[in-house]
Amino acid sequence: MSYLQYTTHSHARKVRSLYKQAIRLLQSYYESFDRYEFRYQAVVMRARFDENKNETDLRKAKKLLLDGQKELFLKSHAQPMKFAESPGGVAYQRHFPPPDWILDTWHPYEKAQYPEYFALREIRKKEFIDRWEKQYGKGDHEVDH
Amino acid sequence: MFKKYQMSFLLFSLMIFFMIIMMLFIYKNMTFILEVNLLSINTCEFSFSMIFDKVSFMFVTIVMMISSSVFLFSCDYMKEDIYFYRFMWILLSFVLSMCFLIFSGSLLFMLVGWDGLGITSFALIIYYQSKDSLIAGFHTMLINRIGDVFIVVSFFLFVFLGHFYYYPMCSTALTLMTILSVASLTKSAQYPFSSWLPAAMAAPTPVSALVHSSTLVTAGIFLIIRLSMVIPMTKELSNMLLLLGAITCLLGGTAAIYEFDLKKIIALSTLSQLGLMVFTLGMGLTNITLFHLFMHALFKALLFLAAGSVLMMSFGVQDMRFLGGISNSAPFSIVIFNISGFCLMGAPFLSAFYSKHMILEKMMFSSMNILSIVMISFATIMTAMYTTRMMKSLVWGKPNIKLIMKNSESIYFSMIMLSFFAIISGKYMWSLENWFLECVFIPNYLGMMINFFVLMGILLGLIMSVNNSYMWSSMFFLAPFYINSGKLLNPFLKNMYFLDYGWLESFSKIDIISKVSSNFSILLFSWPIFINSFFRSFIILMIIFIYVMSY
Amino acid sequence: MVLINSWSVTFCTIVMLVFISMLSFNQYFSNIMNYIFLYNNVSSLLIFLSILLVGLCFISTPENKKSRYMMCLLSLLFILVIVFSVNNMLLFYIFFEASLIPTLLLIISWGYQPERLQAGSYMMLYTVCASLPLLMVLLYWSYSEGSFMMCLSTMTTNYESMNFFVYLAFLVKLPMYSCHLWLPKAHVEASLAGSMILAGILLKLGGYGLIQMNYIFNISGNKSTFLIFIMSLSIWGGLLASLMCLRQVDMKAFIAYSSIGHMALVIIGILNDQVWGILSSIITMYAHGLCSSAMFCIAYYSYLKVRSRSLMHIKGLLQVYPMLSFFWFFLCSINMAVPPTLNLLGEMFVIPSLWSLSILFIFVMGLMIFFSGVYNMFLYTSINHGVHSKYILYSVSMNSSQYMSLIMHMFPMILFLKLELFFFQKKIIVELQNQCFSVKLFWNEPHQ
Repeated sequence: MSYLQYTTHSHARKVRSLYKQAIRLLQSYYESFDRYEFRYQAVVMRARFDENKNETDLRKAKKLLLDGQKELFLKSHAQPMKFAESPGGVAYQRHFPPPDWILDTWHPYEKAQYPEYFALREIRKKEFIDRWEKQYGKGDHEVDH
Repeated sequence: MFKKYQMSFLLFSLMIFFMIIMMLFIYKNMTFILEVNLLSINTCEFSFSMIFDKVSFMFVTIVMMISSSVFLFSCDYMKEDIYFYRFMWILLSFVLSMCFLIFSGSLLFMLVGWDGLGITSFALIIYYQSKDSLIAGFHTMLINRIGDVFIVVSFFLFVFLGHFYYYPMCSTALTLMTILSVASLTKSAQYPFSSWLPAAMAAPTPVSALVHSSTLVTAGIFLIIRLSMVIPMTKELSNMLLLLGAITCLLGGTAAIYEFDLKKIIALSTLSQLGLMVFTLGMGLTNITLFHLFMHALFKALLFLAAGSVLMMSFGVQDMRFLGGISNSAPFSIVIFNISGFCLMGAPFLSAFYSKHMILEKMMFSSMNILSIVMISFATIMTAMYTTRMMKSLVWGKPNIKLIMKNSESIYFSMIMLSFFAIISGKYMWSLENWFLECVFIPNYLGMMINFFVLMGILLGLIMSVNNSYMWSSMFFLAPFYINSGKLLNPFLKNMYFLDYGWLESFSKIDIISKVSSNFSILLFSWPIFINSFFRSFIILMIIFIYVMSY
Repeated sequence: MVLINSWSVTFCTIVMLVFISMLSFNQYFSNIMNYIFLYNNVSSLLIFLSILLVGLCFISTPENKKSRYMMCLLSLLFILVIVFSVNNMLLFYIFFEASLIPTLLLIISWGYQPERLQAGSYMMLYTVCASLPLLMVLLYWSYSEGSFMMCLSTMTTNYESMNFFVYLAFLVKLPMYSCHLWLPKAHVEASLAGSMILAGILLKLGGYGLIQMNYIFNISGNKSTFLIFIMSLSIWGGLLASLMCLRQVDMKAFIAYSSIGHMALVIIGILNDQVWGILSSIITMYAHGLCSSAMFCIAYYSYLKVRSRSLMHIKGLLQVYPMLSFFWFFLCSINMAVPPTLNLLGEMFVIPSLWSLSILFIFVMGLMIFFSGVYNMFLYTSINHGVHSKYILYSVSMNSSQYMSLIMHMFPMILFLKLELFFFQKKIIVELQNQCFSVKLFWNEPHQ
């Protein structure tokens, strides 16, 4: 989901993006009870885009794009259809995984419930430290956090 | 293995226990008041008292009934959450504070339940770590806090009364009654405060099932019921309740028609039912209100459980435009949906029929202004309309996403248990306690008109499709107003800085003094390097002390 | 010195002292006076509070067992006990001032930033400058009354013209808004023990002084323009301090501003001089002493997890350190006065006395209650909600001394069930101690 635009886009890409947003908007309006209405509107929308497909005058094309964006804004839906996990959706950022080091703070009794995992975890930690030290050298001093 | 069901089992056994006591209290018609005096100042006794009567036992039975099935449901709903037990404990404390409120007899104990509900509901709404739930939690907490402020501030009126019970109100306490009613309007989400109710949907579904059925939102209604059980309300207060109830009822119904979020539709239907309850209170019918409160609690919890089982299938997708065709993938949930939906409309011989029809007929029977009657009639039509609309989009059509039903006995069992009560309890309560009975004399056509409203609503819901209105989906611009009202504070807070670090700081001129006296800074601000100097000064002080003492 | 050097011996003594000081709760209905000591229920509460908090300072910082540190805390305790119980007015003044010295040492020696010197000078200059005129007034009083005894309240001379100088010392100490600049600075720079003692007891010293001065000079509750001005300034200042909380980024400054907001209630309750008001301010002093000290504790424990006090760096503790976050929720709820706590009673009981002034005071008070809810929950959510910050260091959740400290802060809240203790009778019964005992036996019977 590209909700934060940080690169320059070509004109063609902007038009494609406008088309996608327009279809999503139509979905918000007409998807609710029967799909046929939405399909019809989508075909009409596609025809509107196809009409000016071969426009070669850049000034006209630019104006068409701006008009389209304006129309998109003016017709925006009060409750646009959002996927649950995407920004603006209901389940967006609902859960974050806790950091991995939490497992190291477990009590030995708790760790003893999963002996295989923690045995493997110790090996992996040792490997990681070895690899680190091989790459960057041994640390000078113990950091006491 | 069965450890996670323990709270549900506890609540279920408490329900049976309270049910037996309820029977006893109804049969004997007793009332007990337990009172502990904490402090008495000038004949004003600050006490901590509990009421045990049939109302509180009936209510607590209903709460236990609902919460036991909701806890059972959430054992499965929250199964994959790593903080499962944290969730269950907060939920249990939430139910506990509701029980405190139900049994409370004096101001202090009522506030324990009242504020406890506010705090624990805040903790539950911000249970998910997202930004949206934080905004919703603050929205809820702050509007509820307004109600708390009203209650705390009304303390001086209690002092004037000389006692702190809120049930035996003498007729001099009418100002107090008005203030407490305004406080309960915030908790029950009546019109100017109603926008937190849909926002609270950011909580997990079991929480919504508890909050919107029997616990948080009914607290305010219950407070007004307790207040007006002894003496009738003033005309001004009852007019206010009539108007606000009717507005809320209409607002909730209309906003639900324009809503696409499944849970928010149910929340808005709660709002319109709460409006109906406040409206009934305005008519002065406390017992019918209580009856409708119980019936509404049962079927609304059921509706939320059914919605929750759909959300489990769709992995959290709530938008009705994505859902559809659930009758194929989960026929049982649709059966439950239908039962509770018909309850909501007031279909004959389900539980809410006995309460809702009675309210509407009493409305036709009593003398009141035509505006409220028209509003409530419209709201009744709208109730049927949005319920039908919701059912239509859930049952028919094709889903846009994959729906996978996970078979689980605890979910089925909780829904069966609650639907059993939602079907029979109207008739059962009515035959158990004739306190809920009222007699109505209205012409035949008015009685038929109420049925006609429902049928018309169903028809309209089937044929009409409404789409988009920012005004109604933001509850008449109420939600943006409350969410953005924090921005009013911003310039003020910005200027607070200048007050503290600009005016006051330069006013005190400590910097300037220290600059002027920088020549003497060695004398003034050379801090004792050796701690011995401290000891020396201490010894000198001791000497002074001894000297003065001996003097 | 050998005894004092040993940490465990000192700590055991403090625990013993806590229990001994609890014995004095038995005499809640009378004042006890002899030649040196004047002793009523307010002072017994505050002595209990100061001994308890010094003990909790020892528990909260178990890594610091140097004799200097212990000596500093113990001497502070000694001074505080004397201030709260002495009968001689000059001694009261001297020890009131002397309590600044160990506090200053706590800030200067165990703070860790160079700004602590500035904070120390702020504290010293504000409090000493404000209390010098008080010395003059006290000397004048003792000259005209012919005695230093505090139990003798004045009847003859009218001291209303000196109101400002009498109250100023304590208003700065409490502090009232507009004299408060030293408090956030001192809290931010002080070490944990310094903050705990400062918030827990030294602010209450101001409240105790106000009660005593009211009694001695007999000038309160007369609704003069000056008093009304001070009261309205303090309640509006409390509101402003609550608002100021919302723009703090430092946890300790946040808690310091919230305590300025709470102390406004103490000022207005005492100066209005009515039964409900004084009851409310004594309850608020006691409850806030425990609660704010516990909040400084937990702010320090959160600081240990991140090594920063900034709200920008501490995020999402709930995911990582759930117990810490539980205590945050608990303490923030107590600080915003959730019902079965003494803080709520403190906020509630002040309202009848505000009503006697004006309905507008109640309006401001309502806003203050509202904003206290806002800023406490803002503090809780900005620390605990959301995704965990990347700055959080690897560590275990909390160790047993930290649990012990926080739980022992909560435990004295049980005095909620013994509200008579907070009830201050203005009409004191001056009795010798042995006579007092018999009277107490007589009076205790109807209560049981």
